[in-house]
Amino acid sequence: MLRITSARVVSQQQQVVASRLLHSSVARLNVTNVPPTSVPGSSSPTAPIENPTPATPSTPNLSSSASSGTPPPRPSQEPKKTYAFRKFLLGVTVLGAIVYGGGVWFALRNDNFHDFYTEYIPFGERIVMIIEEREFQRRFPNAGRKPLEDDKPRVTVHRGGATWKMVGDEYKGPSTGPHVSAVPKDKGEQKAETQKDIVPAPVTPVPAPAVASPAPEPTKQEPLVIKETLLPKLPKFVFDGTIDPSLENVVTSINGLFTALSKAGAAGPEELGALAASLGEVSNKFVTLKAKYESELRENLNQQALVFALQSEKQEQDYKQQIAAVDEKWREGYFEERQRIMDIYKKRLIAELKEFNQVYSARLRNEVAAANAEKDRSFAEKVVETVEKERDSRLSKLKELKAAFEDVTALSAQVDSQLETAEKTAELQLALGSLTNALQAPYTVPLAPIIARIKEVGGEDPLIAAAVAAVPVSAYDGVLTPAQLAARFKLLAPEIRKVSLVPADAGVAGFFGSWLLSKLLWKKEGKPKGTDVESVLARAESALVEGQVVEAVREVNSLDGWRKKLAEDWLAEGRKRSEVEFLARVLGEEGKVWQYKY
Amino acid sequence: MSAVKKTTSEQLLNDKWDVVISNTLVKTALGFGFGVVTSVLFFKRRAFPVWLGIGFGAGRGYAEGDAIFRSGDAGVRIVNP
Repeated sequence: MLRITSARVVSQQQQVVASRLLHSSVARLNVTNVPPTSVPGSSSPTAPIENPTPATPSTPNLSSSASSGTPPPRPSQEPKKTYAFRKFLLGVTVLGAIVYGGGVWFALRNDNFHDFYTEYIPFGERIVMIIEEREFQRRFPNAGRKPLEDDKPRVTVHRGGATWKMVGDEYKGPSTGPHVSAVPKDKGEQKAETQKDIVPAPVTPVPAPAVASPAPEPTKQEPLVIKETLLPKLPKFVFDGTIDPSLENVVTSINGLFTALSKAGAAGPEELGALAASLGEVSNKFVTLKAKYESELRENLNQQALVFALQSEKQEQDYKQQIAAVDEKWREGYFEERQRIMDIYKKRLIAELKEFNQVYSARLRNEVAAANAEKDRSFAEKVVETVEKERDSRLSKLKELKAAFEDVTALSAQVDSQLETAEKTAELQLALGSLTNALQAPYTVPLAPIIARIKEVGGEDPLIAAAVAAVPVSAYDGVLTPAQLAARFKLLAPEIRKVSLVPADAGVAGFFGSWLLSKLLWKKEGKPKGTDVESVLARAESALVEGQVVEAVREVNSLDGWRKKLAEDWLAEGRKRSEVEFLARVLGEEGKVWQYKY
Repeated sequence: MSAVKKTTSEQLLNDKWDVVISNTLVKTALGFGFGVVTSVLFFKRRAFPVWLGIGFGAGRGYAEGDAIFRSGDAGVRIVNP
């Protein structure tokens, strides 16, 4: 059990301890003539404030008297150096460090605290950032460096476009050619090269150059001396297919000429003469051939003309026949069609005539039947006349009787409907009466079945339907009686009184003050005028006593603030009761009028 | 959760007073406790921390009572469903 001690008592305790220690030490030293030191009761009232100096006046005596032996221990004689300020500083620093560090640690854990910490504590953000960075470094030591180079397969993309390369000694063009040396090739190689070109070609036009060449040649009788080295090698004509024998002569002679030319470089006139002769032969042959072919061609053409003429005649005849056939066909078709249409018309005509006959005969028959009926009727009339005359017009009496009978049935129907209406009215009145009874009962009666019955009976009337629909759903279980409402109000009134003096936006003091001071207010009775709480309560009370629920509700509704808030439930019940009363009155009035509507 | 008891509007203030008074008492007691602990640990069993603690507790209780009376939700603890 803690004793609440004052500073004075603490110092007094210390004094007692000090004096006890002193006594014990004195006892040990066997010093007897030491007077008892400061007694707790005798110390001055002001001294206790300075704690460390309780028994200082007596210590020098003791020390001097005891200096003969070994110096006694001085446990608590000297003023204690407590280093309070330093301890305080140390404590504050340590506490601050702990709190700071704890704050940093907690900030790393909790997001909200982190936000608060970084915003309000000086240097807090920096420290937290440093620690976070370090942790990040620890977790992801490789972040920020370049990506690894060895792992993934590399795709090298060539730079598009042309690349250049040093053209040095590597490149060598074709080794032969005119750019290397202008020396002509070996003859054998040359002939082989040129013969390749000419071998596949068939007969080259011989006459033109051949004719040209002997023309200048025979004029020049001196042989052509051509140096071997300057002439190109002339080819020999070689043919694949068959040739005319005369042409063969030409070819051989040309070949001979060429060989002679190429060998000696000179063309002899005998070669040329032979060539000319052969060429003349050839041209004669050509002329004859041409003539022969021409005649043949003409004959062919004549034959062809004859054949065509025959053919055209035949075709003409064919066409004429075809046209005649088609013409014939169309004519036949036309006649056929005409015949068909005529047949159709005839049939139609016959049918119409038949119909007309039927209709006419039916009409005639009807007229006959009508005439018969007329005759019968006039006969019956005559009969009735005579019978009536005989029996003093009793038939008309029968008619009267029938009319009277009909009247009676109508009347009875009317009476039935009126009875129905009366029944309904009675039922409605019963239902309304039950509603009124329910409202006047001394206990709460559930209204749901009564309302349902009213709806059932009088639902066609729009006013009754509207009134039934307007009944609040919470009233279906029943409403409180005025007596019950009054009893409840008696419970409510004290609560309202407690709150009657509460100011706006009140706290504890406001409510407490209102409770206290409202006990001093006068309680009013009767129907006092005024808008203060006590008057309102008094008026409501007296209205309830009279059974005027509507008035009471109106009064309580005029309160405001806390007073109304406390009265809410009571008001709800009161309103329910008022509404149901009002609707019951409306229904009653309507019920009275209802029977006169139907 | 047990069923909520329906209270009539007349008892509204009485319920609030219940909460306020009980709250104030609890807070005052807590303040008293803290005052005692502080006094023993740091202040050499002097009396003033205890009174200080009582004052703190009562003040807290009063302030919360004010809040409860002024707004409707102040004394209500909303539990997440």
